Amino acid sequence: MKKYLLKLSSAMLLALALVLAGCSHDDDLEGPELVDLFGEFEILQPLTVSRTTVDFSAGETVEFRALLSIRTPWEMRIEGLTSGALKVFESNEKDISGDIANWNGSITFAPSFQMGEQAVATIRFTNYPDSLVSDTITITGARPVPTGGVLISDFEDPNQAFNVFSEAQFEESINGIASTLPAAFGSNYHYMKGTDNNGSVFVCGLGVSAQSATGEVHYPFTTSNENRVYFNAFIYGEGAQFTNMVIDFQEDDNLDGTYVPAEEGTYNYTIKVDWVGWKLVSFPLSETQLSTNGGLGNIDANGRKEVDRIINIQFILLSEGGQNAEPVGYGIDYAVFTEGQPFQP
Amino acid sequence: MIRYSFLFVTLVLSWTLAGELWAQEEKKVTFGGAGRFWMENNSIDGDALEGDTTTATREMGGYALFDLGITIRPGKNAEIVAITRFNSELDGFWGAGITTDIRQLTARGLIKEKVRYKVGDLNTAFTPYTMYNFRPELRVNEASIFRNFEEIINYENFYQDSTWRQQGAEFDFALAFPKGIKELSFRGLIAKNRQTDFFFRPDRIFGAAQVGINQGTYGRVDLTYVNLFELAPSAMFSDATSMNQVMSARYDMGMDKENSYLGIVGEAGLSGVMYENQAATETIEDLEDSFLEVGLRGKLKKSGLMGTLSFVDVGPEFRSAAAQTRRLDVTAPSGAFTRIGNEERVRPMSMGDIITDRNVYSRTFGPLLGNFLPYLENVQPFGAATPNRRGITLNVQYDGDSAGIFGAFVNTALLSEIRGQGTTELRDFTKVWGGVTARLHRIYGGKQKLIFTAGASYQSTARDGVEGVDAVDLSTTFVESGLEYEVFSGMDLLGGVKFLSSEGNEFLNQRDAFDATTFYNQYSVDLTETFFAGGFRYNFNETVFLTLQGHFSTIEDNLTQRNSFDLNRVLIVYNMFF
Repeated sequence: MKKYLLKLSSAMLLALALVLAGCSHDDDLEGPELVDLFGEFEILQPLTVSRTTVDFSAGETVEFRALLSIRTPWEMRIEGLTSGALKVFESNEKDISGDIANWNGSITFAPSFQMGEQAVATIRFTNYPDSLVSDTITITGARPVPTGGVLISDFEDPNQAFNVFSEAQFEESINGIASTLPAAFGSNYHYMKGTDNNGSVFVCGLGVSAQSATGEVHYPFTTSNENRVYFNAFIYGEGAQFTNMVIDFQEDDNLDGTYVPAEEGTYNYTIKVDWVGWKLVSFPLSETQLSTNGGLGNIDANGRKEVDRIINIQFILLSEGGQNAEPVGYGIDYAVFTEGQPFQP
Repeated sequence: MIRYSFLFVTLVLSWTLAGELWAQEEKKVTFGGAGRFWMENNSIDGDALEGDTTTATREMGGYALFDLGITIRPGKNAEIVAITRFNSELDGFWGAGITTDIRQLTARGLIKEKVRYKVGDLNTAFTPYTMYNFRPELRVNEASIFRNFEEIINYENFYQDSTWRQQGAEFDFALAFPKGIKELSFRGLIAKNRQTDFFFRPDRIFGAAQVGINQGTYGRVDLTYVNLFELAPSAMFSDATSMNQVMSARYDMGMDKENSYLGIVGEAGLSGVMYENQAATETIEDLEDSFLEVGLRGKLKKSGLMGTLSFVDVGPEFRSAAAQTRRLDVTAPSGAFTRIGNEERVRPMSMGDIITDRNVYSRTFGPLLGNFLPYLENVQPFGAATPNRRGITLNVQYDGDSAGIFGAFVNTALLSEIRGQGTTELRDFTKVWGGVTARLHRIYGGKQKLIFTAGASYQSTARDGVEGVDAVDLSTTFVESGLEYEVFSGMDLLGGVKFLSSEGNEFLNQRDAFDATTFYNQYSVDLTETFFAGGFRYNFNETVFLTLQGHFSTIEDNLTQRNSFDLNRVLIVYNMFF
């Protein structure tokens, strides 16, 4: 019995050593602090600006600063008091400062901010009625429009060839160059509008080939990295809740200079156009997905996305849910590819 | 100098696990398999369908399947098993909807009667912290009427007790020693866990090795190493990889006396998760942590009483993919009335789905902690290896009196978090569960079986509030019971009920692709759920039965009325394993 107890004691000592060895863990908090997410909302520091006069043409920027007690969704809109130009910042950080609130004079909604005009920033919160308003900022120099990129179309060249198409002519009321609204850039833009009468969702579309845009068979990029190539365009929304836009990037997978929908891949990106005005939309091509339409680009002959083989771009107008209660439509202006970063006019 | 000598242990071809389709006869070719016919007529009603003009409230479905297994023995020490499945949906007349699949291909054998090997489809488990497929929720001490469905679900998803199905190769051999230790056993496994997409997602491999040291008199220690890793060269356009390693020592040592046993059981070890060449811009942190389970086990053999008191400490960053993956996939769509309402929303999973639907369970394991429903399980949602838990567990089991009339067990877990989630306050967890089985016919000497079963569990989670953030207070009570009466030889009258009530609130972790918590979602629950089942079962023999049952399931969600519904079913199942 004594021998048995001795062995058992040894085992217990071994277990105790294991307990002591095993109980040491990193005791930092896991994840974000709950009080930062669900605590009481307070504005700890009001909205301030780093300067009240700014020359964007000289590369100056304006930093906005405010401090909240918790992380909560907010939107800061900087509005040009003369032009109506609009820059929007969105975040849910409680420390509003640095890159998330640093303005270089660029826009989110056209037109551009003008030299000599004044701008004011307003922050509103998704979950709280409070708002913050900044001091007035005087713009002494406007941001120059960035150059470069691969222009798909600014819809100003009357000789550029487009391919417009629709499922049924009676669904489409407009599908062409227009100039009745103030354009985002220049004076012309393309507009599509219609009503889905047969419940098929699709209304009409516009195709712009690489040949038409650049004179080359494929859109020319200096990189084949899909993370570095951005599509950018101004999209005009009417605030219609059922308007969906699909942008198709059709690949000439076998490099024969033509696109065969049943054999070659189409990668697309869907946007719900629920705003009013000309909004700048940008995304890297890495965010596009292989088409799910049977026989319409859902089979990629090479099995992968190849941005250097894009031969044609299509802008599709869809009526969400196939409803016909109200017409749907959007405008497109200044569609351009950029490399390395999104277009920031 | 001490010289040790050892002998290879002579092995036999008996790697059989419960339910595996290895025929026992030593014929050259033998057949085994399974067959099933399943037909159900479902109806749905309740608040969830209020104003619903699109959902048909009645539907009929089912299938017939036949698994034909052929075991071929080309020699004395080799076997090949191939199982082909023929499946026909109930409405798949004249060939439509009929599919044929290879369900299993396995070869196994002995090399020189010393090394056992097995290649192809493998059903494998190691230890509860390294590779283990733990039992899902809502099964404490099930009645016979529910156990049949668990057997079908386990068969369909390749679960054999606690195994996961993988494809690869496995071997084992053992050495016997004349003194000191009795036996030294070795076991190795290499398996493919995931197929590459050839472009961005690499192959994932699972490897495992185990050395078992069996002292003989005082017990054994098993040293286990497992590694779930990715092969970067198998994806052309990405060299991003991850790796999850776990090392453990499992021990079961004690003194075995004629009338009693007293010993120490448990497992201790380390884990690490390493990421390389990830494209994500945010900082990705490797995870390293340890775990420990050490318990004192006692057994009084004459009385059939056994108990284990354990201390458990599983680190917050302990990760073990093959031990933490959940069987129940709470994101899987339910089979009957998958979508309801004019907006065609996904119907919430009900108790009836969990108990009977073979398609809401995972077939393999993966590296991330899965989703779970806190009202079903919040104390150890990832099994014994649930990370961030420390405390005491007590298991007591009564195997039964000499007449075999009663059996019972009760388990308790009193745990708390080790690391706070978003706050320095720690959650406290309490869970008590137990069950009783009574073979009542043995009391009065009846010839027809009359078996009563009951089980219950209670679990609670609590955490103090802090600076305007709500406290956590969540509790769930679950009760189940059933009766099995043999009306005449082979014919059973079956009945069973499961009841669950849950109320309270929680914060659910929202994790990114690297398992880091990025946000918390507030979660509230106030519901009751009842599942009644009754019917008859005719047992042609121990492995073949025909049953006719009625199921009546009710969910009353007091927070979201549109999630309240009644789901009823009449079911005919003919099932055979041969």
